[in-house]
Amino acid sequence: MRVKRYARIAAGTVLAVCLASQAYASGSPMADNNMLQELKRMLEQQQAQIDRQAAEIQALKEQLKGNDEKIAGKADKQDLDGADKLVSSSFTDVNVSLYGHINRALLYGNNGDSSNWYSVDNTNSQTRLGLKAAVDTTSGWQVGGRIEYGIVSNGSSDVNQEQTYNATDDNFKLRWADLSFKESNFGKISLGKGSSATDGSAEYDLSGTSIAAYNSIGDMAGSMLWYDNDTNTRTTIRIKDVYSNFDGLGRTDRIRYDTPSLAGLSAAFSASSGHAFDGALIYSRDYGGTKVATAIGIANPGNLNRSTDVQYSGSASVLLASGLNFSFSAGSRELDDDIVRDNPFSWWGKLGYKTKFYDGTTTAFSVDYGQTENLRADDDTAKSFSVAAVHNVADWGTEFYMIYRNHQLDADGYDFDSIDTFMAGARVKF
Amino acid sequence: MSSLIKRAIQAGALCACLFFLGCGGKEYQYEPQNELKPGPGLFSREEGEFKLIERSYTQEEPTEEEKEQ
Repeated sequence: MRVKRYARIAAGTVLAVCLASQAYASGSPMADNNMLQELKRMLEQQQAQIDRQAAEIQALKEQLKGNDEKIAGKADKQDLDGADKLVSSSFTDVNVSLYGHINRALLYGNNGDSSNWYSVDNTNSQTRLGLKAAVDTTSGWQVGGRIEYGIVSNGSSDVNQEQTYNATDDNFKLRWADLSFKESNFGKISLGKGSSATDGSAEYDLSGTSIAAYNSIGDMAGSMLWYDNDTNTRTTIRIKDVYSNFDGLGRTDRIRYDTPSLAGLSAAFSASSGHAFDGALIYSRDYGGTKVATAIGIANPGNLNRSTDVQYSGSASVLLASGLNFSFSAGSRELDDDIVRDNPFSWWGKLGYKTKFYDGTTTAFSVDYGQTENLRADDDTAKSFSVAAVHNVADWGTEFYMIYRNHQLDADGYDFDSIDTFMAGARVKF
Repeated sequence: MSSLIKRAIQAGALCACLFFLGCGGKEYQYEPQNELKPGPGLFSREEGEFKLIERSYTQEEPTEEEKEQ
């Protein structure tokens, strides 16, 4: 259409030029006047034609726009129909998310006889990948699910003087496979593999350094072997054979019920496969910047630990507004009546300080000391202290940490050298 | 004297219960630091996790016809 219009304008222009050249050639004023009149008439005709074509184009554009709106309206109606169906399915919110972190470190161990460096996955908070899903229903219930795997190569609690590489047998370990049903007044029921009621009850810690230093002392270098000076031999006794915080039942295949929180106080109960049962009281509250977190638990491990009748665990942590913090834990086991031995027990304390050297970061320091008695054998006394620092760069989702920990063991019939360990690494959240 | 001490202990216990059960402070959720730490992630940024599906559905008021039904 545009080409046609230009062709007509071009033809008119050529004709006008021809007429003008004839008029110029004739040289008569009368002829000039006629010529100009004729040119004016032709130009007016051309302009009228252009105006008609512009009007036709505008009409076509409006028609096209109308068609688009009809098509869009039809699509919107289809979407609304779909939304009505979803609303009638009684969901209000649906969330599915992928999460995880990587936590790698360099670990140094020296048992008085030999020393070595290891590249490890920090068992304090091992590398993991998980999937969480939650659906809020119109009835007020939230239905959730969680699947999480630990992906561990050369775990820090697995390496030792004899296993310096590929020390972890199970690189891909299921941590969570859990369904949950939660309602604000009823509480929460969980079914599947996940934390038992007492899991973590001995590990409440607000210091900010527990990724490096916490009371599960065997997680850092638990497989390191003690060296006996009496016989000048490396024994088969490991660090984790003599230390424990007696922290509940861990993650089990269980059904668990959590009560709603009443002013920060709640209770949890679970029954696990293997005839194991446990319960815990949990309390956390913020008093004008002073945070308190505490838990106590009692567990019957059943077949999960046949040598134990009952296990007790508890911990408390206070973080002052100034950044100063204190944590304490204690735990014990009542051994089965058939086992004629003293009951093992442990206690542990930590003093810490959290501060911000510059915006967007937090740096935490701590010193701790703990003892475990009678775990491997009567009259065993395992002592440990540590100095640790964790620098958290929030914007990077990354914590850098380092820790020095000393382990000592007094046991009848042995003269053990102390084991010194040092670890430095980083945990990066995806 | 002994009843005074007993009353003081009872009052102290009551004050402690009231204090710990919410007359002061506010609730917060304790997060174990060795689990997934709260806050942003290096790649997922502020959300701290990758949202694969995230939908909210608003509830519509029933129409007059639906109410009658």
